[in-house]
Amino acid sequence: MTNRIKTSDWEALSAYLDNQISAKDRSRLETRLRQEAELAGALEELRRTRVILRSQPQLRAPRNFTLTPAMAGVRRPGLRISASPFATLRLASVLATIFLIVVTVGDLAVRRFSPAPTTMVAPEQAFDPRLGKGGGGGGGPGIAPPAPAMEIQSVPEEPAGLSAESSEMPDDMALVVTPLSYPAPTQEAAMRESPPGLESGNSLGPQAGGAVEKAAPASTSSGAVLIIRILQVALGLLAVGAGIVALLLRRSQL
Amino acid sequence: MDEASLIQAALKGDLDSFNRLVLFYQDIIYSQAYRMMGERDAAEDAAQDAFISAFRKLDSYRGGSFKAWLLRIVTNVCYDELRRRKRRPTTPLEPLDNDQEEIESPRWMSDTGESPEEYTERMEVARALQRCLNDLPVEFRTVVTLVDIQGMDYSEAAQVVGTPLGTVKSRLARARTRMRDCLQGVWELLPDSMRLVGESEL
Repeated sequence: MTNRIKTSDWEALSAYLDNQISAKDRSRLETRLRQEAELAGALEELRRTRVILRSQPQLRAPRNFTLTPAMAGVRRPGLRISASPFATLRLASVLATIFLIVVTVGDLAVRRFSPAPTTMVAPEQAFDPRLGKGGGGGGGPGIAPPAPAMEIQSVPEEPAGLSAESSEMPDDMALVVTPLSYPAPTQEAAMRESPPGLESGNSLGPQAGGAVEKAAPASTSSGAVLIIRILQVALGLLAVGAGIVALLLRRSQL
Repeated sequence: MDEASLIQAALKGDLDSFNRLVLFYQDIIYSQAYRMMGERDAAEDAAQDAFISAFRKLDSYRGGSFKAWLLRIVTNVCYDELRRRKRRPTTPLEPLDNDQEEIESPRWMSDTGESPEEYTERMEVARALQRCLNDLPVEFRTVVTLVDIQGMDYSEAAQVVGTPLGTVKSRLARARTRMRDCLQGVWELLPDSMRLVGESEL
């Protein structure tokens, strides 16, 4: 019966029900409603549909939908944010890498711009026949002069670790101790051996003095180098280790 | 409830003020979500997502009807979910009754003042209506829910769906026409008091 109702008529009837129609269109429609039973029947069907729809009660929410701070993305003041292990390890790895780079670059810069290594032997000393065969090693009292023992005995101090036997070593077996360890003996020996008139410390003096002067910082610099190496190894291990653990932790969480 | 003050406080990050607005509007928002989604769990998710989105986008509220602004958000949330389901259909986890409908526990629809027979008839009407709503295209379903179930006028509904008023009028008429065909026989299930009130509108 209502199949012949056009779509535009249905829209007019729907708007008429909601009082959403102009006065002119309302008048025209009401005239048609009085004349066309089919149109009136359609209006009745639409009205019943709207009654059914509007008969439904307002649904009540089954629970509260209030937001927690986590839902809202709000950070409450005063709460510490606990860092995840992954983030901590990652940060440790990054910092260790940065420090390793800084230490390495700093070490290279110091080596490049610092004076010649202090372990270098003075040229005159190297060719002095009174000196023992070259080579390092902390054997005897360093330069083994052919002088009598009393000269050896005059050595003010012996470096730690040297034994008494080292002073009795034959001349040809005399070890050249790094002059840095011995502040005095070579200079004194040179002074006794040198011909009269020569300035004390002539042949060996300045160089010996220079070598002597370099003796003190040599030991400290070797210690510093050792510390730097240890630090570099430790930072490298920390950077790599923390990074690997962080990666494994991340994979286990995924 | 001073809505404007609560909104201003919420804009400054006061979550408690926003939650007071949630408590005031959650029935309306949930109702809209339920009518659009057709099932309780999906409606709860949509309503919750809508409120979360509303709080985060509160600075986009430009005044006017806060209710219409919230309804627009929940409508869009439902649209997105329905589009997603269309791409990836799901099967219901709830047990189905003989009519292959999800059996719900409608405690939230209970009215303690009615007899069991009245309650049963009301449930029948509600189920029939929701079945018919579910068969409507989502655009028609949205408009008929806003106007006929939520009680909004045409201009408010147009604001919610973001379409011209003429489009709302057209979609509403077509939705009612389809619902008319689907709801054949439900009229007799209505209580007499309701049918009498309906006839008095003529």
